[in-house]
Amino acid sequence: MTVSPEHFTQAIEIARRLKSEIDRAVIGQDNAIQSVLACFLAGGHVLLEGMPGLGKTLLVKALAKTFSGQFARIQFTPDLMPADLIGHAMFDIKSQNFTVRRGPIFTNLLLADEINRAPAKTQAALLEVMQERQATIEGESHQLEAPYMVLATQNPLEQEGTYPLPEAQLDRFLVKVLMDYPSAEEELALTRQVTNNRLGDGLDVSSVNTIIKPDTVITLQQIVAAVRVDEQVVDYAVRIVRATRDWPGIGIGAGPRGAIALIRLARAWALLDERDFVTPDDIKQSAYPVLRHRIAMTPEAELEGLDPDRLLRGLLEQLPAPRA
Amino acid sequence: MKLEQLQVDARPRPHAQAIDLGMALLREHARTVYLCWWALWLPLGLIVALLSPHGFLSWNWVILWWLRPLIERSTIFILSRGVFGETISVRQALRAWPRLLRKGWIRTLTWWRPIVTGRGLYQPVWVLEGADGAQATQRRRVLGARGAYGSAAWFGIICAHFEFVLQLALLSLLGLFFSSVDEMNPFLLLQDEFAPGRWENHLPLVGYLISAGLIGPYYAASCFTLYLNRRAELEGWDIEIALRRLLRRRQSLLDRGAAKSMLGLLVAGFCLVLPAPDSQAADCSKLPVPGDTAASRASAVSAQQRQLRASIDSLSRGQEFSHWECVTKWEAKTKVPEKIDTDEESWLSKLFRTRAPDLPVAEILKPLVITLAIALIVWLLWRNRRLLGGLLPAARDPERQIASEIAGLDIRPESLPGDIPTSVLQLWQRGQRREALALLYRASVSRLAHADSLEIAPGFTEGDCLQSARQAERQGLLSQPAGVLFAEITRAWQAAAYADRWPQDEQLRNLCLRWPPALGGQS
Repeated sequence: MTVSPEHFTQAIEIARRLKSEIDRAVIGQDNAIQSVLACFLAGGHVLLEGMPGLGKTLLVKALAKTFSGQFARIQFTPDLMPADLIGHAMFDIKSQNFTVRRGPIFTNLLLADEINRAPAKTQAALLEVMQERQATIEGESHQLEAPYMVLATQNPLEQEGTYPLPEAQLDRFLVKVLMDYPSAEEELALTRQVTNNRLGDGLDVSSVNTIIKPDTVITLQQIVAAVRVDEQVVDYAVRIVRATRDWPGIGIGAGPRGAIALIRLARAWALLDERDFVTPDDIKQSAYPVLRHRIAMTPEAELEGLDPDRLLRGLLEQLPAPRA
Repeated sequence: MKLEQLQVDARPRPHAQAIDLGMALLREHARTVYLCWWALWLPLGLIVALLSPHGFLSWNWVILWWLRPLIERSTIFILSRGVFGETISVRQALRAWPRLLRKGWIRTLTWWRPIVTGRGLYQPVWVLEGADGAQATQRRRVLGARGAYGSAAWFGIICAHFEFVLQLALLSLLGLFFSSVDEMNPFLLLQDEFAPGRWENHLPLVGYLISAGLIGPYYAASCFTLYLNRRAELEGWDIEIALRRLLRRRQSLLDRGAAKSMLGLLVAGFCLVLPAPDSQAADCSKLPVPGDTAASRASAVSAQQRQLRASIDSLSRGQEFSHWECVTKWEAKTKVPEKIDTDEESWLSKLFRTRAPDLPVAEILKPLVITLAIALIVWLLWRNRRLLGGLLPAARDPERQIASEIAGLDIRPESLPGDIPTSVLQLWQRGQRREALALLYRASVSRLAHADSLEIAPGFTEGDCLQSARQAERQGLLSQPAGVLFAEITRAWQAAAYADRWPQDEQLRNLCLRWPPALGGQS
């Protein structure tokens, strides 16, 4: 697809406005907003990790409102079954027919809260939907409406009684975004905003304006896919991913899907940075959210108290940037 | 001991991490450690097996267990050299081993043996530090504090359990083969003298030989790194290493001439502040040798006195009296200086006495001097604020690295032509657009890295360099026009290199025009 410079300019402007609209509702978490938006534009799925109450649901609701998309939230529990997600066929006595009841996954943005609390088969059902973008109910395939994005959350604490996602399934998430506590100033502003002339503590996205339609999002995603990537930049992404496979402290490196994900996210990142071409910096920035869940640390590194981001930082500092 | 040669990251760690570090260290030197261990362990086992009395064969492994601390010293010796990057051969380690047994062996092999499971933490005190007696006791007390001994002891108990389980597993396996088909008994070999006079009675010893031969080096290595960790904590190795790097870095800055004036000021300050050292104490070679008293004596009054003096002199010349040493050190003044009783009045006091007899001179001068001293310290801190930033733990790279290449471009000053803008424009006019922009960009980065001392590591991308420049601009280390120009050059270079989008002639000329005043200073 060839995209004219005017379209790029429009896309950059829309992306900028999308971010500023989300910023109105979600205070702080700038990095998380940027990563989620980039992932949305790249057409991927997000794994969010953070403590409860950091604005994960608010972020998704705000994003959904910016393009008047549908939003659904599922709280994953140990007794959640695949049919609860996907839907099922039910016999209607009046019409003497089976009618299909679609599950909550038939939406634009799906917040899968605490995905690691559901058993493996429910997780697998969701991950299959994420990959195929369709669901099968009673042998009949149902396409999911585009744009479609799953935002699955994990709580870093309370690991007891959870079913950690296996590496192969983690690979299906384009990015893993870490949400940390906001700074003192941000928390002050957030508290003021939520408590000012407000009843209860419900999530309010009334300040967010709808600026595009779902169809525009699809066009936007197509424009992102056409962002120019130089050969040297692709080479850099591949070298990063390959380096993770024999880097000290990393037991299992990222697979080929890692490099693909790096390029996809870097394209969106470039657009958010108001450029129509990708630089090595976009790759470098994308490396943390894209690779942190695709690598497994060695036990020694874990005992040393290191984390994936620190290992990746060391790798990125030492790996030579592209030869221009 | 050269701390800068330390092969492990010297930082205070939790005890569990320190123990784990020992395992990593052992893996690094496993071949030498295990070969040396077995070269000593196997002959010892043979000797024990041969010399054991007949009725004691099932329990002769206890003798081997009892003597094991002596073997552990070879592991400590090898690893102690290994952590400083020195590779020890098995032959060297075996030759050094008898020397390692000189101190602390009585304690280790007698009342300590059955009860002190954390002995591995203390063995380096004898083996490496050569301490003995009260000094060693003091060292052990210090090293074992803050739960270090507890960790070593519990680790010793864990290792003993592993050894026991391994030994039991081996004996049980063999017991199954030795027992009769009708009466399978895995614990057959553990029964006293199950087959008197047969070689199988030595199997418990073999079991222990194997289990301790596998796990023993782990215990010794982990206790050694626990010891290292305690020393790093106590002696602040990480701080010392950081300070040495800081010193090197400061030296490099001083060499460049930017801070030579500061050095002069510091030296002058120290000369003023420090008292002059005692000239006699400073030169030990000029001190009289103790015992050389003949010159200062009065002549002898009797033959008996002469004889007595001769006897004393011959005794004094003995080896036990010939050792002397001269120690020079700074000490806090505790003595009250003697009041100088002089009739001569200084010109300053005379001046104040005559011109302003009621002026409280000391009360005025004291706050003035203190204020000046504080101002001097604040100025020095401000002047060196970037150097001090390196002291923050894990916040910065410990060593400043100046990259010679950024994004594949050579940024060494010697690789650049003298007149950058002219060279860039010449290349541009010849149609070598990529070369022209590459030269302009790398000259800018070179200038930032070498003249402005910006932190630029080899793995930096264009964006990282730009971020570094912005940070320097915020800190006032880089002028605003230079920062703005560098950002523009970076953008132009990125668009050309990664999007094949070239600047207009006018834009390039503008960049070249602004380059000399903003960035061309010292490239």
